[in-house]
Amino acid sequence: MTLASGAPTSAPSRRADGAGASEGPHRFRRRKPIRGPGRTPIVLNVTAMIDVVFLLMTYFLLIAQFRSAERGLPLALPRKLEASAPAAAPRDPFELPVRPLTVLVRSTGPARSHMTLSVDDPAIPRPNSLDELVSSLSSARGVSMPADQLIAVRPAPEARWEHALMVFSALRQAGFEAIRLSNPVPAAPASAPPR
Amino acid sequence: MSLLPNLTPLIDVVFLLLVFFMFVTQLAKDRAVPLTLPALPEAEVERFRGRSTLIVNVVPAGSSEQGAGGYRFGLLSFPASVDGLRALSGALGEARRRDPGAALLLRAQADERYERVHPVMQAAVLAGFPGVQLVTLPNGRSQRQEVAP
Repeated sequence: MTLASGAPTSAPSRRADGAGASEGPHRFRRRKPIRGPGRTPIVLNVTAMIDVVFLLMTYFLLIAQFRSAERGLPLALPRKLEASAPAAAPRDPFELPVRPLTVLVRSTGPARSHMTLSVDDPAIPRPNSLDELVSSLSSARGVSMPADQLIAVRPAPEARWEHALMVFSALRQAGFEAIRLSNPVPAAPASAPPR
Repeated sequence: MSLLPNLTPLIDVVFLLLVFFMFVTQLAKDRAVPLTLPALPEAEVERFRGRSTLIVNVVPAGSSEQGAGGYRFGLLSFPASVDGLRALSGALGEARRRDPGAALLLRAQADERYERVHPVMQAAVLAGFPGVQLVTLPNGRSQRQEVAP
C-alpha cells in the first residue's frame, strides 16, 4: 500500500524534468546546460581501455619473442667417436676399408668467400672456390667415385664455423648424403703449418 | 546505494599479472645465448618448431653471458676443458634419457673457431645422440640477434 501510494507522487516529478517538459513552452529551460557552470561533468573512464591496451601490448611482445628465424641444418652423427689414430683399434679383417674423400677447409679472412679448399683425391683439381668444388665433385660423382661416396669435411682448427657450415651445406645441396664434419686435425702435415 | 563492488579492474589487473608472469617465466628458462649465427642462403634448413629442443651454445670468450669462453647447455655452464666436455656429455646424456625424442641444437657464432665447435659434436656422440641440428639463420638476417624458440 505504501508502494502504491508512493508511485504517483514520484511520477509527476520525473515527468516535470523529462518527457513532460517537452510538451510545455519551457522545455529548454528545464534541461541541464551542456556548457556553463551548472553542467554535468562528462568523465570517460579510460582505465579499462588502458588495461586492455597493456594486455594487447604484452601479448604481442610475447608473440614476437616466440617467433624466431633460426633454422636447423641436420647433421647425422656417427655412433662412436672417430678414431684419431686409424690403426689404434683392432679392425675386422674382412671389412672393406671405407676411405672418405676429405675436403680441407681453411679460413683466410672474415668474408664469406675468404676460404681455401683442398681435396685429397688426385683426380679432382684443386678448387678455387666453393662453387668449383661442388661442380667438380658433382661431375666426378658416379664416374670416378661412387654415388654414395662418404665425404669428410675437415676444417682446420682455426677455421671459421661459418665456412665449415657453408661447405657442409653446399655439399648437401649437391646431393651428397654421407657427409661428416671431421676432427679439426689437419690430414696432411705439409699443408698445415702450425700457428 | 549498491554495495556490489566492481570487479572489472581487479580482473584486468589479475590478467595483466598472469600474462606478466608467463612472460617472465619464458625469460627465466631462456636457454639461448644471443649469438651472431652463420647465415646460409642455400641451406636445406628446417624449422624445429613444436619439437622439444635441447640447446647447446658455444659462448664466445668475450661474451658477457654466463659461461663465456665455454659451453652453455640450458642454464648449466661448462668450461672448454676435457673435464668440462666430459661433464657436458654427461649432462646431454642425462637430458636424452629424460626426453629421448628431443632434438639437439648446436648454436655457435659465425666467426667461432671450428676447434671450439667440434667438441660439442663429440660430446653429443658420446651422449648417444643420432644427430644434431646446426642452427643457422636464413641469409640476410645474420646481423640480427635472435632468440631460439
